[in-house]
Amino acid sequence: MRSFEGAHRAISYCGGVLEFDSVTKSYGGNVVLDDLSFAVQPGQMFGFCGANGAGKTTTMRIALGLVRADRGEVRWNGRTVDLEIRRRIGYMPEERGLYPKMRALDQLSYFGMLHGMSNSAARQAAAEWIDRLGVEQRTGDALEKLSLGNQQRVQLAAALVHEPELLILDEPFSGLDPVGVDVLAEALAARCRAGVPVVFSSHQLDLVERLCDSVGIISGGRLVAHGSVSDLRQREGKRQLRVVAPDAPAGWAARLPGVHVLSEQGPEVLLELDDPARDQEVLAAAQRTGRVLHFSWRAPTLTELFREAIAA
Amino acid sequence: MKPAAVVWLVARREIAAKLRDKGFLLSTAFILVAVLASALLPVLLTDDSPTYDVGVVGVDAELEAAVQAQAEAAGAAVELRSYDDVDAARAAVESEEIEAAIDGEQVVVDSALDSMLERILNAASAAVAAEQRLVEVGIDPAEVAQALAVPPLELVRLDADAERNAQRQVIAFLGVAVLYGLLILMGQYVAMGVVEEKSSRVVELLLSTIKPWQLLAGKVIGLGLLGLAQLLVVCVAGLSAAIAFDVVAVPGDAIGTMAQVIGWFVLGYAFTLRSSPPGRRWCRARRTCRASCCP
Repeated sequence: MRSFEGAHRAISYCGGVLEFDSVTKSYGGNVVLDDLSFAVQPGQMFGFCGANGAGKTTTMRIALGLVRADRGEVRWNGRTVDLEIRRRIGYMPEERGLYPKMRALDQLSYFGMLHGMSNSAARQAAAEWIDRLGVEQRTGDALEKLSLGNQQRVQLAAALVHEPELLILDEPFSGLDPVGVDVLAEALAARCRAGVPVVFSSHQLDLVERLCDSVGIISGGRLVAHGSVSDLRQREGKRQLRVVAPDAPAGWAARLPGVHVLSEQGPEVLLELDDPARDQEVLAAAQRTGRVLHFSWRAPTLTELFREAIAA
Repeated sequence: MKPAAVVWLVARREIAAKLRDKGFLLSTAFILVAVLASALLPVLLTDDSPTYDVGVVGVDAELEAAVQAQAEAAGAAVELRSYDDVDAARAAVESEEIEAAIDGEQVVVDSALDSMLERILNAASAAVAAEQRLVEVGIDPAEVAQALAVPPLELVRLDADAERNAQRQVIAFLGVAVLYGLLILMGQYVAMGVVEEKSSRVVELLLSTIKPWQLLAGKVIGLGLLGLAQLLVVCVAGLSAAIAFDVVAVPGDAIGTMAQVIGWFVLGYAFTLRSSPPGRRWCRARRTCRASCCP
């Protein structure tokens, strides 16, 4: 894996705060975003999750000025996002797109200059990002001649080439191989370490869980869960109790009042308690059956939290 | 970044992309070849002083002298070859050694007689026959020769600029043809550029950074400058070749006509794009940009 320390050194600012304030958007009678509000702090990696059509892409496109909100606004450091601010944002759209017949270096330089860089600085940054992201190409190759994975890396480089103060990426990991995922994850982490807030959407919840400091789950245009992954787990996690009692007869837990068996596989049962404070009663009941090898509250995975949040 | 800088940046990309595009380079080469060919081919293919090889059975000094005189008057050259008999002359015609053979009052050709050579031989034959008949009736040969030495009719043009106008018409025709082709081509390039950015979805990335009218203005200006450069190259190359091969009698006129063509290109390009779908979209985008998507 390549080093991103160069990118790290290049950042001299501390980052800012991205705020979505009561953003509402409808198409006809279809409400796509309903009073959506959340904030992304400096250096925070924010995972934006939701089912297809939940409103993730619309939220991002509103931030980039591609769609106008019916109500509410998006602010960067307290100021409404305008064209000048958007030039300091790195954006990767869900529908990937670059000029197919243009060389990677040329188009990265072009996008760098569109974001206000000088010609020489843009070319230097473009060459550096091509190297950092490990884009394999022959000199003079048009983009369309690169493999899909390499095209995806060039697309990411287009979002990063101008050293953005904020990154908004729509499904950046989609279509990447595991090595590509690692390269991209490291690139994003380097930006976060430099104080850049990173917002990205993804259906790969294990990745979101692994990479993100904070998560927002959107359903039906509303933010149904929001916070750090550990907070969400903490908040929701006391409901599931994992008990391993090898001497217990089958169905022993189902007979306990206020206890629901979520799964039972041999000696291991996963329980949900109406009142988490009664966990010691469950432990006592298990000990009465014989040995207890394991007794713990189980933290749910982000996938489970997601399913629960969108089902609510 | 100032809007003008953004527009120029987009225009530069359009120019650079097209200069690497094989289709564009081939179309430029094609237009250049077409213009040069239409300007020079008529001159190169028209032989103003043709040379003919003609056989004569026996020796006929009078006829030979008359043929040479008529050929000189017509601006052609005739090389006469003498054959002992008619069979030798016919064999020479069949082997395409000579184009025609004169045998008394007959002209022998393989299949057809060149119209200029036909006029030369007929006029020479008529002159020799007339001279012989006049001598036969007792007129002094010297007087006959003097009487038959009639200078050609002098051409008097009432329209002093007739030749100049004809030249202007040819140049204007070529200029309008190139203008028409380039206007259509450039309009197509703008439309194709818009479609390409839409189909390759790069437009989403662009419009998150610049305004729609800046994108379209850059495209229109870039391709317009490229079209103008293409027109200039074609005009300069065509005119240089025409002057070098002496096709145009008054270069100043040709340069003036070409300057007008270039001026009309600018106006025509603006009008074409204003009335084209991308142009209408551009105007609409400028009007509605602030209200729809670009706060």
